[in-house]
Amino acid sequence: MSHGPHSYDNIVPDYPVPDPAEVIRPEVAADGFAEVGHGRLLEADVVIVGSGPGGSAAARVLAEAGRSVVVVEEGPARSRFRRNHAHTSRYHMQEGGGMIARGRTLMPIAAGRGVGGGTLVNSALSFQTPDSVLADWSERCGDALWKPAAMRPVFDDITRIVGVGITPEVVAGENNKIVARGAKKLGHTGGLAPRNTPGCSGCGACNFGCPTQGKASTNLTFLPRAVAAGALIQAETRVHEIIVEGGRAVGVRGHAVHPDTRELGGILEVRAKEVVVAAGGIGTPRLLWQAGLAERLGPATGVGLHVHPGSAVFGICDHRVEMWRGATQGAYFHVDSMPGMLPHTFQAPPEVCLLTTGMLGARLEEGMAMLPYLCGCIVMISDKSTGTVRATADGRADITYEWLDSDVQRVKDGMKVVAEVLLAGGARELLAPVHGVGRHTTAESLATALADRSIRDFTLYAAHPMSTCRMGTDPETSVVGPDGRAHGLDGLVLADSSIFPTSLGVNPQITTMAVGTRIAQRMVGLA
Amino acid sequence: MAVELIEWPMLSRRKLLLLGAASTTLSTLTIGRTVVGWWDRPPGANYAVLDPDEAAFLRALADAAFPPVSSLARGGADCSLDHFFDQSCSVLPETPRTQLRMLLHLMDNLPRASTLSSFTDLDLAERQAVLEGWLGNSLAEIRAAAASLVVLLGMGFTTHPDNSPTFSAWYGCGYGR
Repeated sequence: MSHGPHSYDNIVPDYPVPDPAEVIRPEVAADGFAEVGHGRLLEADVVIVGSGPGGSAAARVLAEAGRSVVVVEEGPARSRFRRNHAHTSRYHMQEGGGMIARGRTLMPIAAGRGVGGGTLVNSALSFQTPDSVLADWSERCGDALWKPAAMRPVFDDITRIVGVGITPEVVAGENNKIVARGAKKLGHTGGLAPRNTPGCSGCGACNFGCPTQGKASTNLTFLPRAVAAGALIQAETRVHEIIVEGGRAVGVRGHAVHPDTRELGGILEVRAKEVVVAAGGIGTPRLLWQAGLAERLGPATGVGLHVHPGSAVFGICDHRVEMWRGATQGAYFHVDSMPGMLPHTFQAPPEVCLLTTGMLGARLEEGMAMLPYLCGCIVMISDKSTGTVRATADGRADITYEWLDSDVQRVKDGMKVVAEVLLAGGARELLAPVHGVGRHTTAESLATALADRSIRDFTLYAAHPMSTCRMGTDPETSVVGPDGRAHGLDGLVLADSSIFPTSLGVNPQITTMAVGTRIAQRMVGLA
Repeated sequence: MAVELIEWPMLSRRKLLLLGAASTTLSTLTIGRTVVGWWDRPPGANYAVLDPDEAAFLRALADAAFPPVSSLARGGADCSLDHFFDQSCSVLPETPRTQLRMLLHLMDNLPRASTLSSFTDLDLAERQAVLEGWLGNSLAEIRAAAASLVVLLGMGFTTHPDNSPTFSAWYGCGYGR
């Protein structure tokens, strides 16, 4: 077993089969645009900006500890799920799904929004934080409370609340089975993946929002608990200012934004003893820059962006796969000799499959016939490459990302391994969404074709922004201390993936929930 | 073993220089025309954002990318994808909305460098060839621009009420509903 910086030894512990009736609660009620009216003033012990995995986990701990809590969320007050990418982008993706990182190449970065944040539209993969990563964070922060053993009770708690279990065979779908089968055949560690979907029906719709409430997103888990303990959720409001008085953060201001028309409504002001920002790896630094606090918070604000970038390989099978059936991302594997690389299955909507396989225009008829026979697997790497996040003049995220050659090579190496797995699992031909590479029937041939390709030739994807306001002890290289409190501003706490001291190496929702929980526990003296 | 790829003939250095000079001139003219021709035009009738030229370009692009096929009720030209795009644009903040509209003008005028005609004015076969060239272009920016427009139109194409039944049959929860 590898014990390098991203050993994956512990990321899938044994789980009991979760009972959906014990996990899933009715969707939480939130106030929206109308409740702000011409203006609204609220007071609380703690205001939390962002209701994603970090913010909602923190809200639950704080509210259950007796703090009065207001959670402010930009997205819609009620989930607006439709199996339609345009609709999902409009209502449940930050900046309409149009965030792009600039650098050697353009790379789209996806981040969810709505009451529940990214957990509404993620694929529910629920890996635990690698022990090796936690040990590294603990050492960097000089803080024993981030050590794996100290964090174990936190993971036990949150994985029970969100009902993590291994994807059952009955909802796995053929795409996942191909990857699980291929990985096993080649001796790689992996199989069907842990997910927080106790009521999953295998309809493959996670990325549009779960239509059956089978996915235990935080609007059905942490947030109902927080509201039951007295928290208030104010959605449809975009925070643009952190109020600072007497050298201390004392609240936030934002505009209500109509979820359908984007019309600006009244001003919301929330006064609080402590301000928690948990708007995600992009949203948190964007807000800190927009609010004019970046200089005060130090040079690490908005730098060091990691995103777990990657590309994919499609397989073409002789049998119908229908990659859209079954758990959206339900199988994974890793290779001991390639630490920090965690391939897993994916689904893509038909227009994306048709585009990335070049089956448009005169080839559309052929493409439509081929769609059911496609399988696919993503290569995701724990990146050393970094980027920056700032705010544009109109308050949008301004993102850069600079690829290191070593990471480009890791993506190429990963694609070769994925190709081997797809072929071993039942694919007969390979198709990589990389300019100039074409179709191949062996992994070696694909690797040869990839060898001289520039990163600009790759179709890239990233959905795990993190590390943009890192946790640490040195204000020159970190924004917050190990307790989440900002070095440069009393009363300001960060509690999301932006404080990860390094790239994580696994899909981040469980870690982000753990971070939100741990930071909140420290705020109320429970840790 | 790799499936055979088309090998394009090599260009001589002289031809390359001539082509470069011609391309630079035409590109300058194209960009100049685009910038000079750009102003914040009012939306056309029944559009929230798009002007008639932008809508016509999108209809032409939709027709090229998504021609009628046997498994779907409608081709891209009959799906009102210009209106779908218009709706999508209308909820974007002003800056990206303007950038997207400028991109439409730029892409429509790009073929002038080689055909002296806008994309919209080309016939279907020519438009499909141009689109294939964009999606396979050596410049990543051209590929990305074309791909982003096609994906956005594709969302409307696959979720059009008359086409979505095909995908609904495939997708358990009902694609497009």
